[in-house]
Amino acid sequence: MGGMLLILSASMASCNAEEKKADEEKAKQEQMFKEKMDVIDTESQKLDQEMDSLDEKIDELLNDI
Amino acid sequence: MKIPKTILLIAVVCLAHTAYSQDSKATKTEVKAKQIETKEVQKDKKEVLKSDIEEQKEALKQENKEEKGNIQEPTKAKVEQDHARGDGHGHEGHNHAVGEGHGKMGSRDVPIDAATEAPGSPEERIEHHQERANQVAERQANMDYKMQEAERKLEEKFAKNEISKEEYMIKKEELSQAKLKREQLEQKEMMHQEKLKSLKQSPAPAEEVK
Repeated sequence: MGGMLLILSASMASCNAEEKKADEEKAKQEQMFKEKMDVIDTESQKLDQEMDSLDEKIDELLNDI
Repeated sequence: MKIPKTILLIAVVCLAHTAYSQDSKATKTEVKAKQIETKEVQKDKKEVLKSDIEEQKEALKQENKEEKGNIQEPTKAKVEQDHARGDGHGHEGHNHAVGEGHGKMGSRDVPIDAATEAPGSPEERIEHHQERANQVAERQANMDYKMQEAERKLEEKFAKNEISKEEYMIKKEELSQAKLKREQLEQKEMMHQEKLKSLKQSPAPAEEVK
């Protein structure tokens, strides 16, 4: 009886720890991905702005000539 | 077999402690890994900021240069060469019928709001960036076309003596600056796409994160 209780409590503790670890790992990956994606977003916004200004400049040039 | 309650209690406490210490050890390792990765992301952000500052510096330099009127006077031979090249355009008929209408091809021919909208799920965000890449390619082609048109018009006007040599050289310089900027932008865009590609291939792709 005592031995069974021991084994049961040990396996429960181990399961909980593994589950928690997996959840944390998943959350961490999600967070990392989000952060990297945010960097990409910022960069693409910047590139779009640059492209807008260049496009405007080319239009001005074309109209001036 | 009868186990005394005290021993049983001690055993349970021991097991709980072992499980807790293992768990906290794993958490510590994860925290450390997260710190390292956060540093990497910050490094990326810093790089973006750094390139931004460099660009601003470059733009300021360029502005100063323009203010000082540092456009070099063309040599006679070069002007004649350019002039000769310009003559050819009038007769070759490069889309003359389209001519003046190109001014209307505004910078918003292809709407680019891709990154600003930033939809929710990772798959959507990646898809959004792919759409943006296609739009950027179209925009680049459009800009190339407009620059070619501007160059053609300039040569034509110069050939017909409709603009002065000085004006011609200034416009030519502006056009070459625009071309240079366009090339720089293309390179930046390529690097940006590479980053996106590597993010898609990273260990936490959209499907897994979902």
